[in-house]
Amino acid sequence: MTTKSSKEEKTGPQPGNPLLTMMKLKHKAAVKLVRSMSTLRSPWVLHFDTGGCNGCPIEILAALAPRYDLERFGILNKGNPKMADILLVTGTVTAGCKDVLINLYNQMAEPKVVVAIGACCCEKGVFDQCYNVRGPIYKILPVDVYVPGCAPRPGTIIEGVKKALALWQAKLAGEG
Amino acid sequence: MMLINDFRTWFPYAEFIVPAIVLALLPVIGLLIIGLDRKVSARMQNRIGPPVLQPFYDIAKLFSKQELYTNTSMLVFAYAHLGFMFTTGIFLVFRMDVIVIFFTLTLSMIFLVLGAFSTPSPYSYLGGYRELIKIICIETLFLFVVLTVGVNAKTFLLSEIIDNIKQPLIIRMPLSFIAMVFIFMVAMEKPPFNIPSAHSEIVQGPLSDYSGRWYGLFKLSHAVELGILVLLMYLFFVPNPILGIIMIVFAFLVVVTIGNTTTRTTYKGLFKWTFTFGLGLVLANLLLVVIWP
Repeated sequence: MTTKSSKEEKTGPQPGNPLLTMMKLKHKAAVKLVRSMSTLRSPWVLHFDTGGCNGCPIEILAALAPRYDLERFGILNKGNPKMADILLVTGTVTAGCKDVLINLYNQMAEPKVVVAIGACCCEKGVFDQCYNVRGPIYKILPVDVYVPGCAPRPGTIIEGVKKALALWQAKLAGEG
Repeated sequence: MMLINDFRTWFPYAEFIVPAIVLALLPVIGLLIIGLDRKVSARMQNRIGPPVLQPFYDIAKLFSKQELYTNTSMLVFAYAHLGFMFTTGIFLVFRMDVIVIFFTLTLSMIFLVLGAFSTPSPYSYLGGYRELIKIICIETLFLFVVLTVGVNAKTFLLSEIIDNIKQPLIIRMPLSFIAMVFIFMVAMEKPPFNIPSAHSEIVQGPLSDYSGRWYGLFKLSHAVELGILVLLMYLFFVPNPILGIIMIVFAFLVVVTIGNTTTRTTYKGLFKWTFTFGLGLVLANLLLVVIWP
């Protein structure tokens, strides 16, 4: 697997034709522009429920349904971690779901953003001190955005996803 | 006609450059069709829907993601799929043999299945088998449509068919056009027949293990495939471009309406519809062409 940084290390900065350097710079700027334009418009989310009352997933589905229509921002609910950019986690992390959650996170391609939705996910919520709870989620995954509420309304979830998008673009710019 | 002849004397490479431009436009046509499909579907469901250029944004984003893959052979198959799809486009825009177009289109789809089988995911396997069933169905129909076109014109060379055309092909083969719309519907993976990419059953079907730019390549080749099918549908109206565009828009609206008002069938449903409705139409048309002088 070759990454960009390793390629640059091999070739290094090359002195020579100024026109060529300028064209390369322009090419890089164009690539950056296209990236920043396109990435914000096409975030695909993966939703994973780690155990709970199923209230937050219903709200997420409400956000994807016609009334709130997340698809107008290009947001699609992909059931596949390999194609997803944003991981929406709901519910307190139970013992059975912990490894699955980590596996899903590892299968996602960079740049990726994790959004914790609901009181049970941000903290342990009403499931605090239960024998099977391994949460809260920040001890397991690097969480970028917390969306509190029990359950958060679809508008709040959309707000959280939008904040996640800003972080996602910052991560992309940091890479480039 | 005079104008075209003059144009050719001024600019001798026109017969190479015009098809090349059409070839470059094939993915653009396909992506616009996908975008329009998403927009029109959203409006039918009382939503606002994504912008029409959404598929372009999706592909640009996919190409800026991290490269993740499980083995290298799946990447070869991804490139082969796109390459043979473009080869099909070349054969089409340079007006070569229709039979060869059929062969390369099938080969390209077979590479998609091989790509699915080269990954370890069980969802890819299931999707690959379903994709094979889809190929059996739509390629059988397509073969008989090609046969009907060939029997009608007594040649399989597209250049001769188009040069000797006096009236639109639709007059002698309307039923074949309906079969082509059926093929277009299956290729677009709209709900009644979207069995390979049934995301609620098998994650992403044959493309479950692809991510980032490799998935973008498949999106691109799907767009090229749709562009090829639109050009083939346009072939039925050749001397009359306005009628052709109107009928293609009409066919698109029919496909989107059917897609938004029906639920997914099983692969048996696809078999049943193809080998009764679709094949019946084409065989009736073949009989009509043979009998009608």
